[in-house]
Amino acid sequence: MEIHPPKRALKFLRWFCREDFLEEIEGDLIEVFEKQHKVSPSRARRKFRWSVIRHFRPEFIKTFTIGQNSIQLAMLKNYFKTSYRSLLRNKGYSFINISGLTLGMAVAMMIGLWVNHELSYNTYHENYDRIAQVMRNKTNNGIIYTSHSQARPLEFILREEFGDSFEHIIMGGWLTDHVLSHDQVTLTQEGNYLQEGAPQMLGLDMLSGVINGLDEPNKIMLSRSTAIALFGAKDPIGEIIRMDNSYDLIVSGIYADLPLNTTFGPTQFIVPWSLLVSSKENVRADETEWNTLYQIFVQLADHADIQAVNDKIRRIPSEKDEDEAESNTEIFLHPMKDWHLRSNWKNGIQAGGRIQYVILFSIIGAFVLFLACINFMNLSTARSQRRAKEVGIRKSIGSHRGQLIGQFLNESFFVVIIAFLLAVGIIVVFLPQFNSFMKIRVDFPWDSLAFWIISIAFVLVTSLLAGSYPAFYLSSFRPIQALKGSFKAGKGAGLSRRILVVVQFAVSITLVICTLFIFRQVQHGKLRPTGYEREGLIQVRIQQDAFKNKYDLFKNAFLQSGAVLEMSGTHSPLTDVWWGSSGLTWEGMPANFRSNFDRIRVSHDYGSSIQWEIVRGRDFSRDIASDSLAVIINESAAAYMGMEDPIGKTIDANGTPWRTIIGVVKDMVMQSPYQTVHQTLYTIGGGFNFYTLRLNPANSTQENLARLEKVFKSIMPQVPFNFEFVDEAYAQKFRGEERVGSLAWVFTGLAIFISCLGLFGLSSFMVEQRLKEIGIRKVLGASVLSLWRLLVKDFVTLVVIACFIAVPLAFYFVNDWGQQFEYRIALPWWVILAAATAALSITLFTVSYQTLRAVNITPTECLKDE
Amino acid sequence: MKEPSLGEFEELVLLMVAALHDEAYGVAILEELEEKLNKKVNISAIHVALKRMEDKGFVKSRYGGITADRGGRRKKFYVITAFGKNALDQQYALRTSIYQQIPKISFG
Repeated sequence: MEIHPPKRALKFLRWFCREDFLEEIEGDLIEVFEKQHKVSPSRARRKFRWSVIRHFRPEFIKTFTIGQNSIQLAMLKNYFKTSYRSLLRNKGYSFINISGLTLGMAVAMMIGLWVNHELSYNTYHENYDRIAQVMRNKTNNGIIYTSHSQARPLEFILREEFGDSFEHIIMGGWLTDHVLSHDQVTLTQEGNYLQEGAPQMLGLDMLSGVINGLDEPNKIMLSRSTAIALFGAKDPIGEIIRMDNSYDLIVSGIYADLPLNTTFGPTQFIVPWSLLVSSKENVRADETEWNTLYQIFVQLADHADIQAVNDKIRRIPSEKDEDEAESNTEIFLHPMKDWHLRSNWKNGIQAGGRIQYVILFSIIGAFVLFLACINFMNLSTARSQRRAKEVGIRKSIGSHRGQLIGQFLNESFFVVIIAFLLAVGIIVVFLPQFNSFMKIRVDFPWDSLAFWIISIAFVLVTSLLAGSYPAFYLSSFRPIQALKGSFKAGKGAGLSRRILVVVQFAVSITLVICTLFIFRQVQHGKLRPTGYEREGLIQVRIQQDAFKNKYDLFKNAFLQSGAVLEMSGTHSPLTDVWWGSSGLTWEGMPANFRSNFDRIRVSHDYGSSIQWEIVRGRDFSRDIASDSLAVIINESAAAYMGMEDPIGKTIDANGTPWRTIIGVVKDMVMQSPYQTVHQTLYTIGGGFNFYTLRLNPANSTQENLARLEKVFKSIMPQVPFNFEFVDEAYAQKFRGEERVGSLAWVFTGLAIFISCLGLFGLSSFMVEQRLKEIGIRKVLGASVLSLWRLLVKDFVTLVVIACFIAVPLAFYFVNDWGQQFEYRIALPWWVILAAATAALSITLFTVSYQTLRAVNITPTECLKDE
Repeated sequence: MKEPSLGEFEELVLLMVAALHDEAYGVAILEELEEKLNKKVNISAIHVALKRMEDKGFVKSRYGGITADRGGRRKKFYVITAFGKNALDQQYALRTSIYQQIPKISFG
C-alpha cells in the first residue's frame, strides 16, 4: 500500500512555496511524514498539515507579481501596453469612441437615478402599502370627474359603519401657507390641518416630543427645519407659536423632515384638525352639510383588502345625499403607491400620470445606451481591421487563437472601463445641476450593491460584445492572409450598419422637429394676449383670518404711500382660479343641462387695478349699491350661455334670481395659457386671499416695494410681507413646457451626436474597405471631387431615407403631444426643412472628414501591399 | 556592514550541520536535534534557520541524488563554511571567556 500525504496541504504548499525551496521542503516533509506514518497515520497527517502551515511564512512564499513562471501575467501586461498604445496612436478616434460610450452610459445612469427616485416615491412611510386617499367620481353632463375633495359626514359614516376596515381615518384640509411667529421670528410655511392619528399613520420619525401631538386643538407639530428656523438651538417643546396672528399653539412634537420624494414632503408643520373645527364656523356647519371641501386619508386595517373595501364604500355618497345621487357620485380608495405615479383620471378611469414619463425615459435611456454600445462596437470593429497585421504577426510568432481572443477582449474591457469611470465622473460632477433641474434630490449610489452589480454586468457585456468581432473574427485568420491583407468583412456587417444609420438619423430628425415644435408652441403661448396688463402688477398673499376686515385700512394706507395707483382684493390669484359654481341656470338654458362656471370674488376696484377690457356694459362701481348683486361675465361665458346681448339678464340659482349681468369683459388667461378660457363669473364679495396692487410707474420698483413693506409692517408687524410679480407668476406657467423643451434639446443633441458616431463608424468602415478601389481610381485619373461624390452619395441616400421615415413620425408625435393644448400652433413647414437640412449638412461634414482623408491619400500608400 | 549574528537556535542547527558533516539535511538535523534536546522540534524551524544561515553565508548547500523514498524528492545537504566555522569559534570563545570570569566563591 502506498501512502500519500494529505493532498490539499501538499497542493497548498506547492501553490505558495518558492520554487527554489519547494523540493527540499516537500522532500523533508514527506520523509518525516513517511516515518511518522508507520507509528500513527492520523498523527502523521495532522503533523504534515501543521508543518505546511508553519512553512507559510515570508521566507518561503513566492512573489506573486510577475513570477519567474508567469508568462500569462507578462502577456497580460503586454496586452495592456498594446491597448494603451493603440489608443494613443489614434487620439482623435479614441476620444470620439470613448466619449460616445461615456455619454451613453452617463445618460443611462442619470435616467436610472431619476427613475429610481420616482419609483421610490412615498416608500419612506412605514405603512406605505396600507395608506390610501378617498377619491370621488362625480358625473356631470355624462362626463365623470375625479377629485380629492370629500364631505365631512363621509368621515362619520366611514368611522361608524366601516370602522373595522380601517386602522386610521384622517380628515385633512389642504396644504396652504400660514404665518408662524415666535418672539421676533416670523415665517411663512406650508402646513396642513390633519386629524389625530396622522403622525402614527405617516410613521413620522419623532425627534422630540410625543407622536400623539394632535390630540388637542391648541397644539402644533413642526418639522425639524421649521423648528430650527423658529427656535434656533432652543428646545421648542412646550413653547408657544402664534399662527396666522390669531391662534396660540403649543409645540407638542418635532419630526424629522420628510424627504423630497414623499407627497407629504412639503408639509412643514401639522396643526390639529380640531383647531380648524373650533376656529371656523363654516367648518362646524359642514359637519352636517354634504359640502365636499376636505380630504380624507385612510390606513387600511391589516386584514382589509382594498378591493373589498372599495366595493363596500363605493355607493355611500349617492345613498346619503340627494345632490350626490343626482350626479351618481361614487368614492374609491387611491392607494399611496399610485399617488405620485398614477394620478391622472380620464372619465373616472385611471389614465396614467408620471408613470408614463418614467416608462418613456426608461425606454429612451435604454435606447441611448443601446445605440451608444452598437456605435462603440461598430467603431471598434471598423478600426480593428487595421490590427489584422498585428494578428498575423502574433500568430506567426506562436500565439494561440485563445490568446488572441483574450487580448482583444482585454483591450475592449480596458476601453469600456475607462468610459465607465468617466461616466461616473460626469455624474458626480453634474449631479447637483441635474438635481436642481429635475427638482429632485438624489445622491450617487456609492453604497448601492444593485447599482454596482448592474454596472459591472453592463461593463462586462459591452466589452464582450464590442470585443467579440475582432476577438473571434480577426483571430480566425490564417496568418498568411492577415499579413497579406487580403480579407473582407462579411456583407451582412455593411447592411446592418446602414440600417443602424438610418434608424439613428430617423430618430434624430424626429427629435429635431419635435423640439423645434415645442419651442414654437411655448413661444406661441407666451405671445398670447392675456386680456389684462400684467406688467407692474404685484399680488400680495394674505391669510384670510389675519386680514379680516382690514381691506379698507390697507387700501387707504397703500394709496397714501404713493407707491400704488390702484389696489383690489380677490379670492383667486390672477394666475389661477380657485373656485367654481355648478347648477346655475338662466333663461334659455337647454333642459337637463348642468352648468359649470369658474367663479372669482373680487372687490369693486378689481377691473381698474388689473386693467381688464370691458367689451359691453360697465365695470363695478362703489356708487351703485345694487352692484353687490351684479355679475360681470367674460366673453366665453356669454358664448357658453348663448346670449347675444347679456347685459341686464339674470342668472338664477335654485330657481330664484341670483345676479344681474352688468358687463362683459374680454377673456383673460388665468389658468393654462394653452387652454381655451373657461366661462367665468366675477362677483363682488369678501374673503380675499390676495391683494392685487398696480405699482406707481413714476417710482422705481425698489422704491415702491420699500414703501409698501413699511406700510404693511406698520399695520401687520407680525406677518411677513409676501408678494410676487404677476408677470413672473405668469411666466411660471411655462416652466413645465420649458423644462420638457430643454430636456428635448439635450436628447436631440445627444441623438445627433450618437448618430454622427454611427455615421463616423460606418464611413470609416466603408473607406477602409474601399481604400484600394480609391487608389486605383486615382491612378486612373479620378479627381478628388468625383471621388468625394462617389463616397458621399451612399450616405446622403441613407439620410434622405431617414428623412422620409422621420417626417411622418414627427407629425404623429407633434400631433399627439399637441392634443393637450387647445391653443396651439400648426407645425410650420420650415421646421421640417430646417431639420432635413441640418441632418444633411451634419452628414456631409462627418462623412467628408473620412472621405477627404482617404481621397487625399497617395495611391502607392494603399496599393503597395499587393 | 554589520557582522551577521548567530541566534541561539541557529547556533544549535549550525553545530549540528558541522557535526553531521556532509550528511546534514533537514530530516537528519531534525532527528539528531530532537534526540539531543529531548524535545519535539518542527521541521519548519530547521528550514528557516538553514535558509537564514545560508543567506548569511554560514552554510552552503548542494542537492543529493534522487532516491525512492521522499516521494522522489532530492535531499538538500548542507555543509558549514569557513565563515560559519569562524562564527562558531567566536561564539565559543566569547562564552568561554565570560564563563571564566565567574567567581568561584559564589557557589562555595
